[in-house]
Amino acid sequence: MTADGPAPRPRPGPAAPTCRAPRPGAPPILPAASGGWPTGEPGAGLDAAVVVERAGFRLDATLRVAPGETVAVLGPNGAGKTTLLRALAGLVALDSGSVRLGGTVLADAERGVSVPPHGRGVGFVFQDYLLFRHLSALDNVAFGCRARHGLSRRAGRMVARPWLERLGLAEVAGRRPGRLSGGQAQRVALARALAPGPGLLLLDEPLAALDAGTRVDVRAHLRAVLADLAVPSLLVTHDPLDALTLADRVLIVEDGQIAQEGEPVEIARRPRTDYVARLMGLALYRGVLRGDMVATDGGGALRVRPSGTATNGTATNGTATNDAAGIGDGPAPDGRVLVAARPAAITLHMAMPAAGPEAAVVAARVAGIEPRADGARVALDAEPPVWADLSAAMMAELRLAVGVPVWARIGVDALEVYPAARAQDGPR
Amino acid sequence: MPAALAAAFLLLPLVGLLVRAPWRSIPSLLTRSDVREALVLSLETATVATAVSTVVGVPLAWVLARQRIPGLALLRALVTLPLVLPPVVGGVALLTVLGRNGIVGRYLDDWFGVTIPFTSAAVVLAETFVSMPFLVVAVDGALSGADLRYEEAAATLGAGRWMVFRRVSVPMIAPAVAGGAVLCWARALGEFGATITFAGNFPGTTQTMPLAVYLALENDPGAAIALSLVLLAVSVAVLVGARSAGRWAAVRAGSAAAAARGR
Repeated sequence: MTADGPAPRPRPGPAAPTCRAPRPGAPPILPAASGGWPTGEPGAGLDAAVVVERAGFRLDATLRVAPGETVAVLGPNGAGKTTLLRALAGLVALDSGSVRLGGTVLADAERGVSVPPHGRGVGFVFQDYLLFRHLSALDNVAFGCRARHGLSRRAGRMVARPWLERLGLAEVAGRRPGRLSGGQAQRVALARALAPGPGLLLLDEPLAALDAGTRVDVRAHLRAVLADLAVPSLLVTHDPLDALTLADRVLIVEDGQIAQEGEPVEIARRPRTDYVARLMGLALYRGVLRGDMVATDGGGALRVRPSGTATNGTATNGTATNDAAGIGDGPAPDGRVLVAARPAAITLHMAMPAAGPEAAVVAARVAGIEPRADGARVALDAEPPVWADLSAAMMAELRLAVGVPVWARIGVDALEVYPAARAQDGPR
Repeated sequence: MPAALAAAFLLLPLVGLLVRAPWRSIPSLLTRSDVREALVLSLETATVATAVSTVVGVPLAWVLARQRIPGLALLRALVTLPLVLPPVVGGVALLTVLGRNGIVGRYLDDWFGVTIPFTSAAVVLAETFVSMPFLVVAVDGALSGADLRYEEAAATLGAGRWMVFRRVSVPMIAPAVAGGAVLCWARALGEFGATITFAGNFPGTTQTMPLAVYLALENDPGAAIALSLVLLAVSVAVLVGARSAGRWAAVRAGSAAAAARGR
């Protein structure tokens, strides 16, 4: 057993030491590893075009990640997220494309180049930790330093210990993985991936196997680590909260393709696919904008700007312009658009309400009621079909049931309108 | 009821052995040189056979579990054939290959002057032939069930193929190798049919304990019972020792299930 040192020190400075050259300012714990590491130079980003083909499946994704940037890869199960990470790590061969990290070619299918996984200097964190069961937490973290940099057992442990301390694991350093909780195990796995000083960090659903309480804790650690990290990192997840809170940028992968890419705020407000819209709790419509109305593809129309304010494609002060989102590319011009509706901003009424200039009122019929923690989501048959999220109090007041006719008031402030810029945003 | 019957059937012979044992003569029996020779020879040959099985059986199990070669399923079936083959048949088969006029043995004799049958080496070979499949099956099972992603995780940490094998694969299958080796050793210790066929029954060189027991039964049944008891005691001691060692290893390593539960 490796006995633990004294009580854990306060968290060390921004950069815990790695077996590679520590970041400037941090006292060097160990000399920089003797050469050959393809990664980690300042300004070295990831530049990859990954094509992997399987029976009935094709992953084709092009991505760039800047140093220090965290990109979340979000998508449904089977979309190819994990395959993407495995291809970057060299665990899956490219059928086409290339992977470059800081100007070093890690793989190039056309030229037949593929650096094996152990030569890539890529840190990988797995959903189910995959800690080596026969090694203590400390020796798990030291494994990479010893394997990658040929350190002795003692030197490896010296590098590993500050990482455990940094992740709040000093007390469990001597424990085997079988005696760690899930949250502890995943933090050990994170330390293990970081200790050798990877040039790229890949996280494959690192929080998915944890229960809700533990997840909050590990997420906080992960956020702190990612904020300090000077190399590119990719975080695969199917939890939108992880993607929106941990990442600088989000890639949506569906069916092996990148379906949408953008900053979290943009993904959250302007989904481009039904999958993203559902994930963000929004209803998504496709249609044609003319003036202040959108004719939706399935029939029906939505007022997206206060009446009389639209001036055919030029900016107005209307409430539904997009400046509020901080995206800052002005209102959509007339033409094909996407409309995202926030169900919480849609109200239901038994008697026909006044529409006013800033809303549309549509006749609807309750099609379904799905109870939620704080009320219910009501699906409505209307043109176009809408959802409304109602509070418990509202549900009690309206006494809704399936089949009941109601009026839905859709204010322009419930809607986000943006151009259907790309071909795939058209009718499906 | 059938369960009780089965248990009684399995346990009563052991009770009989204990009841009929000539307890007073055991100490003098153990000091007899022929008995000592047989016991030492048994322990030595079983241990060597286990070592040989481990050294060549683990790589064989690795090939069976990890390689994708056509005909591997057939090879797996053939390799495990000695598990079901009557040991006497195994001994005859060994004679046809390694006997003085055997397919291979003839040339060993002509070219090198080496004859294997009826030597202690033959005892080891007979025991290895019969017991190695136990080890191969155990290790093959462990390797097939092992999660390859641990090896991938090691690779992403910078470990090359040899280091992955040495520091990840081998420790992961160590419990299975140990368990297989214990089975293998126990089987080799009790080996009778193949040994007497291929190695004969020469006191001091090929007469192992089971052969000595069988022989003693003809002219000194009491001694046969006593020798059986000695063999039983050795087997039980090894089994108990291996089990507690295994439990100790399991506690130290922790179980994957506990880690996955996350508590």
